[in-house]
Amino acid sequence: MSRVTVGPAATELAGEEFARLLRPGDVVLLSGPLGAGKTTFVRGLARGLGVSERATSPTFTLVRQHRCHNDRGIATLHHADVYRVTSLDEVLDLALGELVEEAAVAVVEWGELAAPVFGADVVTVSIAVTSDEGRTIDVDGAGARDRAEAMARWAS
Amino acid sequence: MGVVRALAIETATTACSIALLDGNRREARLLAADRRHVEVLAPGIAALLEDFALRAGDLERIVVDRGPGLFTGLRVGLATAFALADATGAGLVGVTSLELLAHGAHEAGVRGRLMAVVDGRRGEVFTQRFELADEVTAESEPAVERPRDVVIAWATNGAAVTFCGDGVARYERDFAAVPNGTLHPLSVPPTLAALDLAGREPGPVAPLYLREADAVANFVTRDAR
Ligand SMILES: Nc1ncnc2c1ncn2[C@@H]1O[C@H](COP(=O)(O)OP(=O)(O)OP(=O)(O)O)[C@@H](O)[C@H]1O
Ligand SMILES: [Mg+2]
Repeated sequence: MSRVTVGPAATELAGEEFARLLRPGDVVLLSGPLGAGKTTFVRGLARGLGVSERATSPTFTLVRQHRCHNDRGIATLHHADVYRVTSLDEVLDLALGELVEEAAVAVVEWGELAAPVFGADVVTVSIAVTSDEGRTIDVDGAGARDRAEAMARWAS
Repeated sequence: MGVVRALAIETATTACSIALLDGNRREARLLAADRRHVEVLAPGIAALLEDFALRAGDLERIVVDRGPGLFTGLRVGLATAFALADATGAGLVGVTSLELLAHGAHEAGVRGRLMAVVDGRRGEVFTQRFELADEVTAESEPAVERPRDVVIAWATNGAAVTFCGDGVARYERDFAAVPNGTLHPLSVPPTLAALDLAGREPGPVAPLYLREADAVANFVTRDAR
């Protein structure tokens, strides 16, 4: 399932609408080259979950928690960026796969680098750069296939 | 000469449990069932030692469950075991959650083929196959699998098998569908079984996460981008 965006605002909107498909316990792995728009997507996603502060890149903190306000039972968003991680122990140490069991979701930039840590039940979001302002956002993974209809509506 | 005084620590599931052996006396305690390892483990050990009128320095062995299982729990259990062994000079023995389940099931009278199944979260379980006869024998290496794949494999093969562990509790409907399968209620790796293994050679203990090796391989590819 993929959705094409032109300009950062469109990617933010895609993230915001994508957030409505999320459920507590979800782990979303974001991939795409430097500057693809992963953080931009998360900014919209955070808004869609009812996070009031602006989501910024957690590059220097590895993971940042945001309190959410929505009616879907998602109380916390864990936003991680594992690009600068030098050992996988650091990713394991975050224990994101366990933290999401407590009414939370996790979104991990560069998450595919550490995919085995998160197991099979993930949603993957890959952003490809097609031009200066153009992006193609692809959604896949076992976590996406179990809500394929909603995902297809998001993509169209 | 067997080990006389040993402490067992188990934190691989949402439960936190310990057991103490002093000669012929042994007692297991469930300290919490709900992910409160940090809060209950150290005070629980202190209280159990006190009830036995022992001090930490009296311990000869510390047997710790090194996984696989709940990462946040194992972190607490292993750190506590390392600290205690360091402070007291007690020998450290690492056992796996899967073999504890197998020994516990054996103790409970289960015989034949056993699948120990620990909740791996993220839709996966940690598994290992054992043969329970007079002795407990491992018949496979610990693995990470999807519950559905385990169920399909056993349904296809048709052999009689007993399943136990918190992974069975979590995916009970799936496992109940195996025609020749029996679900055993043993869910938490039993600490009394850990005490039975206290006589093993002590040595360095490393956590068993199982997902790590794959993950390391994946990580290296980053630099190739
Ligand atoms: N369609 C688009 N969607 C998203 N961003 C776009 C788009 N078009 C242009 N941009 C620009 O691309 C950049 C995306 O930056 P962003 O920080 O979101 O990327 P990132 O994938 O998080 O990068 P990094 O790998 O460094 O974390 C921004 O400067 C944004 O203005
Ligand atoms: Mg970013």
